[in-house]
Amino acid sequence: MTRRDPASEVPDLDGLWDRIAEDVLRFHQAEATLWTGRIDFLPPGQDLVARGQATADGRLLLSRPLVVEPLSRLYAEGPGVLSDPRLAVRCWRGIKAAAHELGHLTAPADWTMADRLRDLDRDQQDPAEEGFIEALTHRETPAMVRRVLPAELGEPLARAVAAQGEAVRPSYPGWTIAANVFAGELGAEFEELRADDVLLAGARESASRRPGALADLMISRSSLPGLLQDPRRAAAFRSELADLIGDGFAGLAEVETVKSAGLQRGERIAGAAIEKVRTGELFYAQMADFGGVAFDRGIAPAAGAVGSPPAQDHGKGGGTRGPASDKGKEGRG
Amino acid sequence: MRFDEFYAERSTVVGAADDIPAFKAGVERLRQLAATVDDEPAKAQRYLEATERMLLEVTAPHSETVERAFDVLLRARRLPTGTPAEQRAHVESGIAEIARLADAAPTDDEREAALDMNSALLRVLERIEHR
Repeated sequence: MTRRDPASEVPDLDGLWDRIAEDVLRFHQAEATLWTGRIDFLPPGQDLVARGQATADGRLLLSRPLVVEPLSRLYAEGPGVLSDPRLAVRCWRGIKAAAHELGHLTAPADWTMADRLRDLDRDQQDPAEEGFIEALTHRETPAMVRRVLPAELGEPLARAVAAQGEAVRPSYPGWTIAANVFAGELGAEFEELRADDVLLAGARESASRRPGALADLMISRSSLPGLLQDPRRAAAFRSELADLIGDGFAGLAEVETVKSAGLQRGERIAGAAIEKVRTGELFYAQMADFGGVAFDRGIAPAAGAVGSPPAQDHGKGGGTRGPASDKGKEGRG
Repeated sequence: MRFDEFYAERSTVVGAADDIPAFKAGVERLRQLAATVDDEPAKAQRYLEATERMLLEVTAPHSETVERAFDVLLRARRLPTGTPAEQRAHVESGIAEIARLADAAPTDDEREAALDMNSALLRVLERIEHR
């Protein structure tokens, strides 16, 4: 577990940052973090217009006026300062921002800083990166605030924010809703797959591995592992499915602002991916019925030749046809 | 009703999600239809619940400030061809515009939600530096 570097510019605040970092690892169910332990201030000029940043070299930068000073006042002066509604919102958002930025640094155990630097260039994956991390962090923040702050501060902060009437909004609205809807659709289609599991798989992975991780999750809940025993065909199918998901989320760089656009795009990305899995199941089951041994020697067309949705749908993030019934899978036991 | 028929009806309902009253009426219709699906009732119920969550998402409090800030974010991420300095100026202009929108927000929460999106643009600036 990485802990705050004592040489950091940002004060310790009684171990608050370490507790947030620990909580993020836990709720992301991540194997590791690339956070170096360093927490410094955003440079002057940026600190009034942004709350935080996870840098390429693994530091966490936080705004002095928007994050650190409000939380320092809360610790120094106690819950009475929460009578100022703006300060209460800033404390809440400050904890959330630190968690969101640390979420960018969660990683698989074998992930290195060099891998992270390569991933930074994948700007087409920003919508998925921000959408999944924001969706998960937004969902976890109410409980996290109570876990990372002492009870005498956490409960009053939660009450002060709730008293403002409106729900605290997520950021990146078009991307967050797409991630949530994608997760919900997969949870609806695959028995025993929860939408939360999909959000977790999307949030904890690094950009370049996210589409593959989501593809793995879908394949694992289908009958494909039993049907696709040739490792090359299994890898080809996984790669095509991952590309379909990755391209769908990359297309959100151009999503319209209205909420329904993000919603419908998330539904279409999921629909296209589900259709590929279900038609893949039918295709490989039929091939197995006609003699899987001959098929595995390469007589059949390449993976996905039948199962892929029409090519013109890929760039738009998926087709409009509904997923195939899973009756066949259930029927095959 | 078969699940396939239910799913087709559900696709029509989701396709009309930008018309909130129509979407609400469609979800109500799906509630009745889900109870009649006889081949895969559990799956129909799961899709109904997913549609109900979609309805909650689109009817959650709307903020023109946050949506406009998101629109600025999308534009600022599209880097113009040019020198790194020109690209940097383009992104910094987006950051400043989001800050202006946030300053004019009608509520504290909207202002803070809009400002949060500048973190993604700081990453774009970092990307330009690394290139």
